[in-house]
Amino acid sequence: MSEEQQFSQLMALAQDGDGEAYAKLLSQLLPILRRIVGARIKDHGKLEDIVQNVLLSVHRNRHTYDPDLPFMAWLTTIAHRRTMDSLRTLYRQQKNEVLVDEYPETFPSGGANNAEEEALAFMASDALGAAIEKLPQGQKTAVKLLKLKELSLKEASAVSGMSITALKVATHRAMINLRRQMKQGTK
Amino acid sequence: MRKTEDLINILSQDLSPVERLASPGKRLLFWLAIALPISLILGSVVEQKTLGIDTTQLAVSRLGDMRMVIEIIAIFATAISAGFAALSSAQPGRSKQVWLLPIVPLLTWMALVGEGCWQLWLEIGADKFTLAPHWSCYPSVVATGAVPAIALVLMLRRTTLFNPTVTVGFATLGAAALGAVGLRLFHPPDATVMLMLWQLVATVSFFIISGIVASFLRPAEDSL
Repeated sequence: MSEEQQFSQLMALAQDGDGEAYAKLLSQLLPILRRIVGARIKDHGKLEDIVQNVLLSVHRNRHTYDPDLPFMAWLTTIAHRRTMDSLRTLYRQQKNEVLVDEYPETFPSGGANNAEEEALAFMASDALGAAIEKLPQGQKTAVKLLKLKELSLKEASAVSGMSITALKVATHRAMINLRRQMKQGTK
Repeated sequence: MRKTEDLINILSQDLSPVERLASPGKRLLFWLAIALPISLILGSVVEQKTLGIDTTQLAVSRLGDMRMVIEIIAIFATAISAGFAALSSAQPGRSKQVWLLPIVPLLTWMALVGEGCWQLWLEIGADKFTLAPHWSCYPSVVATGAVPAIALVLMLRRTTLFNPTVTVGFATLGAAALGAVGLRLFHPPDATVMLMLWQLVATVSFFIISGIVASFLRPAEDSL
C-alpha cells in the first residue's frame, strides 16, 4: 500500500472517530507539513506556529475529505492556503509594529519613565489606604463595603443601614475625593 | 506556544466522528431540488400579484418559441455548471477542470442576450433604447433570485472557503442563472440586459445578507 493510500485510510478511520488512527496520521503528516510550510517560511518559531494553524485547519475541515479522492491534493490545498493566510496576517502585523532596542524617554522627569517602580513604591506606602481613612464617614463606609469587601448594593445597604441611593451617591463622591487626593499625593 | 506534538494529542483525544461532506454532484441536486421549485413558484406568484398576468399562459407560449427554449436551456446549464463549480471549488483537493464548465453555456446565454438586444435596437431605434433601471422588475428579481442565493450560501458555509473569490464568483453566477430561469418564463418585459444587471446586483446583495446571517448560525472558525 502506498503512503498516500495509507493516509487516506487513516483519515477515513479518523472521520469515523478513531482517535488513535488520527494521532498516527497527524504525526506522519507533521514532517510533510513542515516541508510545505518551510518552503515559504524560514523562521523556525513562526514555521511551527503556521504548521499548528494548518493542523487546526485540517482538523476543522476533516469532514470535507472524500476517501475516493487523492489525499495529498486535499492536504496541500489546505496547507498552501493556510500558509498564505498566515503570511498575510504576519505581514499585516509587521507593518503596524516598530521594533526598538530601548524604549524612548517620553518625559524629562525620571519617574515618568519608570511607571512600574513608581506603582510599586505607591503600593508600599499604602497611600490609597491613608486617603480612604481621610474620607468623611459615609463615603468611607461606602468605599469599604462596595469596593474593598465587594458587597452588592443590597448587602451594603443592609450592613450599613444606608439607602441604596445614598450608597451610590457616597461612592461617587468618594471616588472624586480619592482621585483628588491621589493627584495631590503624586505632585 | 504549545508544542506541535501536544497539539496533535489534544486534537486526537476524544475524537468525535464527523459526517462526510457529500459529493458536489449530490449537493448540486439537493440545491436544485430546494431552490428551483421555490424560485419558480415565488416568481409566478409575484408576477401574478404585481402585474396581474396569467403566468401559466405566458410560460406555455414562451416554451413554444424555439429561440426562447434554447435560451432557457443555456441559462439552466449555466446555473448547473456554475453551481457545480462553486460546490467543487469549496471542497479542497477537487479538480479545477470543472471551473471551465460554465464557459460554453454562459457564452451561449450572453450571445442570445446580445442578439436579443440587437434585434430590439433595430426594432425600436436608438432613441428609445435605454439601460435605465425598471423598478417594477425588482420584485420579480428578488422573488426568483433570493432562494437560490440563500440556499447556496448556507450550503457553502459547511466548509472553509479555500478559494473564496472563485467560489463566491461561481456561486453568484449559478444563483443568478437559476433565478433567471423563472424570470425568462414568467416576466413579461423582454429587457434582458437590464434584468441581468439587476439580477446580478440583487444576487450579490443576497450573498452579503445571507453571509452575515449565516455567520451567526455557525460556530466561530477557531473553535475546535
